[in-house]
Amino acid sequence: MSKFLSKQDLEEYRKKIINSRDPNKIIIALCGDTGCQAYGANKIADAFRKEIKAKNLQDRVELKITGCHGFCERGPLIVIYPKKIFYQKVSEKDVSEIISESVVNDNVIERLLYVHPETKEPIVKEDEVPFYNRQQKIISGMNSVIDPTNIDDYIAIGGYSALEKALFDMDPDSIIEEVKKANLRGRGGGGFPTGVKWESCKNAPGDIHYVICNADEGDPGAYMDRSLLEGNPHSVLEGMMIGAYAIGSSEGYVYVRNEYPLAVENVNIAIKQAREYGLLGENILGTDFSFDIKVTRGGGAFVCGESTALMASIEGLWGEPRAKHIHTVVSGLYNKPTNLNNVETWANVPLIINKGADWYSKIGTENSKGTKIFSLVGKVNNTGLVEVPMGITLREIIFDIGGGVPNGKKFKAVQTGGPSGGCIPEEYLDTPVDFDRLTELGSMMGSGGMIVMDESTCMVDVARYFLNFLKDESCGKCTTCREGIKRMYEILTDITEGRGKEGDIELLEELGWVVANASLCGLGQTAPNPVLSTIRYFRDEYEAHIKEKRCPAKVCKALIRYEIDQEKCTGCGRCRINCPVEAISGEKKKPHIIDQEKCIKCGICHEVCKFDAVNII
Amino acid sequence: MTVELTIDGKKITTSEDKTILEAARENGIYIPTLCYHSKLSPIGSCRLCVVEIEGVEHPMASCTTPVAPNIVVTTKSEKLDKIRRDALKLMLVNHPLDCPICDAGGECDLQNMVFQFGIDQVEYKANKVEREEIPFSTPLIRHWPNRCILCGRCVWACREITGNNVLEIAEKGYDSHIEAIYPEKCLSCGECLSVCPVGALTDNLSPIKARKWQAKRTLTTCNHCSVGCQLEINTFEDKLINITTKESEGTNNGSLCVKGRFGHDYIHSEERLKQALIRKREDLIPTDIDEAISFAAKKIGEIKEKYGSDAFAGVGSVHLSNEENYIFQRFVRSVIGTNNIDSLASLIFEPLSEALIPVLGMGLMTNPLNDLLLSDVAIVIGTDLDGNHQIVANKLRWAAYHNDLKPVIVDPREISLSKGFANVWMRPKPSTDTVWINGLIREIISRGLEDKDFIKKHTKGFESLKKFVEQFTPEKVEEITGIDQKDLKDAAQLFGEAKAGAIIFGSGIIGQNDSVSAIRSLGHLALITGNLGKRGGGLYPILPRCNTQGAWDMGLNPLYFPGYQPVTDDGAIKRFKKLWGLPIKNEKGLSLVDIFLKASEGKIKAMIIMGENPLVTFPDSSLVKKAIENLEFLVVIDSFLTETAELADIVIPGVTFAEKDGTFTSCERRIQRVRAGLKPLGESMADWEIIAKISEMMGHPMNFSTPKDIFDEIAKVTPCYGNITYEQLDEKGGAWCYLGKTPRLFEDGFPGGKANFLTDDIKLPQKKENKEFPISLTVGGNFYNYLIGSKTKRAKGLALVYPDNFVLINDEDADKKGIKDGDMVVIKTENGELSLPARVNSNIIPGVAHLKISFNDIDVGKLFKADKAIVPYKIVNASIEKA
Repeated sequence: MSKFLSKQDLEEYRKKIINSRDPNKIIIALCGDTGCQAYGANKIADAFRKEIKAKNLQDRVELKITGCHGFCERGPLIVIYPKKIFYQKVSEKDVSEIISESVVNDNVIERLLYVHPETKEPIVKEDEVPFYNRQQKIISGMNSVIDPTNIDDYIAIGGYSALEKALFDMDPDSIIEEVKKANLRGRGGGGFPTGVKWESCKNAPGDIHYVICNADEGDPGAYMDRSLLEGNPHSVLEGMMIGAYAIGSSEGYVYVRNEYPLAVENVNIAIKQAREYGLLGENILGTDFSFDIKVTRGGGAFVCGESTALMASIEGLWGEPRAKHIHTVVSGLYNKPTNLNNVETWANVPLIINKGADWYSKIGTENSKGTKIFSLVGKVNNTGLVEVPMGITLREIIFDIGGGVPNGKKFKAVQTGGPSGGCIPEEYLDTPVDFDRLTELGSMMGSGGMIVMDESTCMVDVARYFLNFLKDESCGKCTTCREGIKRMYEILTDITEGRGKEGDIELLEELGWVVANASLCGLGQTAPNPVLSTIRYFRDEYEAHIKEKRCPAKVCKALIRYEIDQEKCTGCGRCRINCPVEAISGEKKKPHIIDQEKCIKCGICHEVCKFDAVNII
Repeated sequence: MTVELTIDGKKITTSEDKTILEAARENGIYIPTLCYHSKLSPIGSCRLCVVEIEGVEHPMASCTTPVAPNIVVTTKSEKLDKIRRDALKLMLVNHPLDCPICDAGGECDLQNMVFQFGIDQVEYKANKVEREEIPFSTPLIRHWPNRCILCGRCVWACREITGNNVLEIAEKGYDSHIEAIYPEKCLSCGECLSVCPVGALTDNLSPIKARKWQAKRTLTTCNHCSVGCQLEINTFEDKLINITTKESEGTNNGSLCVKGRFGHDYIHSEERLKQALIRKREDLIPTDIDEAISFAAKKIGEIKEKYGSDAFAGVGSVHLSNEENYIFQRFVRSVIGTNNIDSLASLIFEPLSEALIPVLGMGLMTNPLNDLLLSDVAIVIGTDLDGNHQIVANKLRWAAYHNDLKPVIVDPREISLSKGFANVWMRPKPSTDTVWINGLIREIISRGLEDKDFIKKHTKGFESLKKFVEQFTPEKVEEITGIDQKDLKDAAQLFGEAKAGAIIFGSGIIGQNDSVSAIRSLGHLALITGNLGKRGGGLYPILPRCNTQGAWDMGLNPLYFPGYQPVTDDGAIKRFKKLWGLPIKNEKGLSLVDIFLKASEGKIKAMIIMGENPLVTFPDSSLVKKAIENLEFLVVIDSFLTETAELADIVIPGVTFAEKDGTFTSCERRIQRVRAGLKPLGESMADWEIIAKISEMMGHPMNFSTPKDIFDEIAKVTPCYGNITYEQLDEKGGAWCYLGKTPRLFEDGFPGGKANFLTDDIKLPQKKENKEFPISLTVGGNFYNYLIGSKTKRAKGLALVYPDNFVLINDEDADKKGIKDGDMVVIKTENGELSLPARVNSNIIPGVAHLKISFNDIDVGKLFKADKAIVPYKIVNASIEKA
């Protein structure tokens, strides 16, 4: 492959790829993202390859291993194009049937279709599935269409045309103007206007400017950025190139966690391919613009997602935030002007350039434009990645797209914004989701984590869980953050273990206030949120733990006990057999009892009892 | 640019580069801090210094927030008080309240702060985390991890001041702790110890402890190297507890090296002399000091009577005070009546003077050391600064960290500054320095980077220099010196472009063959780049001992009275004759080398050696031995029974620097006070008193009752020390000698109008193969270390961190001889031989070997020969064979 030396080279190549592809060729798009891989996608892929070869169908069908399609709950997923037949929970043994029925013949295998939860009707096409049809997948949509390790796929769908437009039809100022006009706000959590950031960086004095892609996604349960880097790395690179051109940078970094091996691999492949095509390197497309990208792998410290700590880490220093009175856009990496955006922000850029700010800013609310990808997890039927326009309500996300709470349980709260976000109770479910409204509720947008909790979730325990994470992930620099979070965690542990006492809630509030007000970086300033927001909305639960030594959600082991309902118990012995500590005794066909001294409150008896005879008290 | 702001209702004007904390402090507004340290960049970890700024949501740390126009700052409020109190309480949860047994008790910032805030209870009860105590990066410091409040000062200090990054905050979150991640890079300087606000790092050396208010603190000048660091001797019941510093004092700015901080326990060594010794047949027998002094006086008188004045010689000391050296030369010149007086300073100053005086008019360090902080390029030649003068290295690292200074290191050996720090590292073969320096000059001129205005205005003879250096093409330089052409060109570009370029050189140049030619060429280099009389420029010869400069200034010299007044100058003779009341000889005396040569021929009959141990420190021990054996009478004044003293007829116990008053003159020409913190041990007395007593016994009382009296006389008769009073030294923390309006030489032009380029006498190295002794053996450390060796470990702390001696050999050379790392080898030179273990690696270039001379029981001196005034004491041809 020779390098593109002009816009024309790229355009001709694009035409060549498109012309060489048969639009009617059947494509089996199998999600090969980390989640579906865990379900066995790799074995399914092998089975497809074998089957296609065995049946000699190479000319009629192509297997494409793609990035994340989003509906992780139902993986492994495949979509068969051009008809967009959507099969879910596919396994290795379904492969030959899929080939014979849906490729060789034109039949649909009903067993693999998604069934509408309400109408109970099977749904054939992907875009008719409720999980998908309420979404607006302008950023993540291409994930299920392209092979992320093949740059030609990206080019075929119009990839790098935004770069062309930026280089040949626009100048740096007009690019920045467009991004400002689109009112794109940083998707990493802060929501800072991207165009304004670019402009400040461009105007900062110095001959060297850097751009950085922050892919150090560390929130538990969040994987939006990982999926984009794994599924469509070129869209991120293209965004960085456009940004670099606008800012006047010739060197970029992708800082990605080493715990994301597939993302590291795919982004490295993408960079290599872009270099081979002359889309990275010297004189890109024959212009004066030269730019290259390096990949730095993060060591797994949560705080390195903070911009200044991240830059310190790239420099090989202790990943510790520094005071930002001099903004990183003026003095960042190696003390040079540096523009850092997160993965999703960069991926928005080609879209804005291609379709224009006017189109883009029609999506979303007044102050929050475009879409946002959330990772919807927890006690919700359809876990997965969802991309929705800003302004959609929490209720729509959780109930319409997410399919509500499973097992008929009651919704209790949704935690947004990652570990230092807050918990929002049901009464606010109709709040439109945007940067400002979530903050008003004592939570935040963060990078897009969304954890649904049902009635069986103890809010004190939830707060304790997040503080446990944060106490380990604080960099340890500020006294208030390092010591304060630990002390809050200890108080919460006391409360959940029945040692809570009068005044603990007030002490938590006071300490939370100090930690939030006296710590340097966002981590410390927001770390008390899980505690403060749960106290705000669920104070009665705290009080029940402290005053009545009772856990209303029946989660905190020290405050509950298991007892067998002597009326309901049939003496089947199932609980007795399954008890790991032999705490249950009883004769056959006679009611059993639990020895409270021996019981470790593991809950297995409660789970295995077929007669609902084990009560949590 | 200045900005106006309001702090606590007070309108304040300050410069825009200040932080809010600095602005507040300037204006007497108190903000509590724990992690802040004025020497370090702001850390911002303790959060005690938070302030409120109108319109800003969160309180801000004032130590990291710069001032801004018209901001309104509040430093005291209920909200802030709550944050500060809580931050302190949070620290106290884990901090053990072991104050009674903590070294920092009474001077602990946390203790003070908790007391000040009146915190008497902590609501947070938690299980204390017991952190395991692991050995620190140096045995001289003990780390108490449970006491650590993780302020980060030690990490910052190690990074910013010593530039070594030994320490780091390891782990994260609640598991964060201080850890020595690169212990092998630790220089044991104790910078971390000195900045620790609590007792998490403590001095692990001294067994004696006392509280701050019990101890006596005496500010004085360090007696190790020539930098002249100011330090405090802390004593309790007349015993040294430890050494501390005051930030505002001295060029060291509160820092010290390992020798300064931990190398003074020899003061209490069991081996110290408490009594005088007198030779009775073979043995030295203790005797009363007055008896010894009167015997010495009598004997000196007899020898003078019998053989005349010139049968006598005096050897002074580079680590005794100006007053002692002054009184010594006065005694030798007037009472005895000879100019046969010298010291080891001449080994340094002979070549310096011969090289630079004809070119510049003076052969001294031209700029104060703090000028290095302003330099943007520094060439460091032939000196391992970290090993010997760490404070100078610290300045370079500070400049590199804050000012983007680009270092060019020239050393055939790998030293701590060469790797990782140097922009260019050139490794010339020994004794080829003249060639590369002139090559550098040629390259700078050919690039047009010379300072044309300066050359025109201030120099003569540039054209001849230009012509002379033509021959030193990069190709030729590479051929002779082994320096890569690219490195030479890079160095030329850097130094040529430098706004202020400094040239630092040590004994690697001064003590080599043809040192005069090399040093003169360095003078030329500084001149063509206009780096003299300029802030941040300058020539910096690095001297070995604390008073090398002072000894030379005080006239420990056969040619000059104090202040370089020739002994043959009639006016000077007249003045001194009048002052001293005795006849003065109008004749040059013998230099140090000649003194020993003549003594070995039996022509010198008696000698007083004051505070020097030439048998170890003079680079030809065989000669010294022979000389002493041929003497009729030898008096040694010293605080230890040195190898030289063992051969004396009378040994009179002197005191250490900690037991006396006086002054030292540092290598940057700064006269600073030495103050007694301890009483003299046993019968020992200050060397000046001993000399004065001998003089008195000989019928010539000198009428000095204190060192101040002597200094007053020095100031009166020594032009370069003129107009300086003892009181000034006390009040202003020292004074610069060699006049001028500023401490920088040549700012008002050169003596005699213009500097000269002089190329006629520049000698080039002769290429001759020495088959018998093919290795160039270089020696380092300095000749004057009398503190450690495997036999005597007088400074116990230093003995802990300095490994035993070895000879460093290049691996290729070693291979040829079948020598492996750790093997015993025999080093032979024309003059003698030594056995030592070998260390084999590629840290040194082929054909060169290196040996430390910091060990007094390894007689390196016998490998050398001294037969001329300028002794190449740093290098000798040798052979190395497996033992």
